[in-house]
Amino acid sequence: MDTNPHSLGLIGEVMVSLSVELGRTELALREVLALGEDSVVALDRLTDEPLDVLVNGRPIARAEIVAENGRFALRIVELVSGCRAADKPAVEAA
Amino acid sequence: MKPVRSFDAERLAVQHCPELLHAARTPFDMGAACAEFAAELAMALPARLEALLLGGRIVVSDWPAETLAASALATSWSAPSIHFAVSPGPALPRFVVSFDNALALALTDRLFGGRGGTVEDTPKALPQSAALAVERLVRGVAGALGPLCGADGSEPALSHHAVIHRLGVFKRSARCLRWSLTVEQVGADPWNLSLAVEEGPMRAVLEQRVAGAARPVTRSADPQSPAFAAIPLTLTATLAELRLPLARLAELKPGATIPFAPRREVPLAIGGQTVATATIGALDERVALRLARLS
Repeated sequence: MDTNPHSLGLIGEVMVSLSVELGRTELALREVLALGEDSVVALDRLTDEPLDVLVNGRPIARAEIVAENGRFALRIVELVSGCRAADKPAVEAA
Repeated sequence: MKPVRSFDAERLAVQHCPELLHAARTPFDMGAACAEFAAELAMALPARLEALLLGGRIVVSDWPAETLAASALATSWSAPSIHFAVSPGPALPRFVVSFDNALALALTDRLFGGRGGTVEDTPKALPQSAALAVERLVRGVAGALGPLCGADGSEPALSHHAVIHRLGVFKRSARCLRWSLTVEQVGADPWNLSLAVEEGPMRAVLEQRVAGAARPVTRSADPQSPAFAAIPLTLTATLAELRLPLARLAELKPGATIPFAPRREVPLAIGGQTVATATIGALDERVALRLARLS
């Protein structure tokens, strides 16, 4: 199936939710219950590690945060394996 | 020889769903549950009424409930009457306590220390003073109904009207239960207390009463107990959420940029539900959050 962006046709206009995950961590219920204002929670992400970009909850890319003309932006660092977007878009079999 | 059983006082008792144990469970008997409810109400009422109707000991007798349509219930009150809507508590069915005006006036007289003689010319509209006096009795009835229905102890809500359906308690098509309880007191004429309720919601209350009687003492789960406290939960922090058309998404490649407005505070979620918002920082070369507000 040709998934060139220009061949998406009608569904090219379909909106999807893209979220940028800063990080995650796993805590025991007792630790969650002990959280309060000013509690510090360390995430599983190193400060120099790219962030995960998810579409409808599925990781599609990793990105860094840059400032462009005083505005923040995501810059795609790599596409997640199996997702080659513009160059060689991959379509998962249903 | 007596059978010997070993008992473990600390054994955890549970109640499996009725679907699992249906063979061992007796079917719900609405008639018996209604009769038991009325009998308990008859036992609870004297203490409430004796505080209001001074005189000898009060005995309340209950009679089997009758089932009738709300429209038939309304038309059964052809004589001038007064009806009180009683709400014993939140999420509980509303009852209607009814008196014909002749009885209401006789009870008003008794509430003020009289003998409760009948009035020859019964007014179509009950004087407000009589309505307020009878309301005290109804409050006593509501006080007896509440514990039987599992009310939380909040003050019952009352309203009254001369036309039963104007109370808005029953839909005309609803099926209702009506109890008639005979109240007898030495030195006074007996009178009947009429009590009606919608059958469906009342059935739920009665089923709950039956289930409650059979249910062992339950303990709520303690989130601090070891079994719960160790449950692992994944917390996720989301920096930004955007909506993009698929066509724009398909064009993404390394080096592409997507502008976004960063949040001042990022949400921290468990299972998709935000539990706190936080500011971003660093701790030992790891991204860290300082919680600002708990949800």
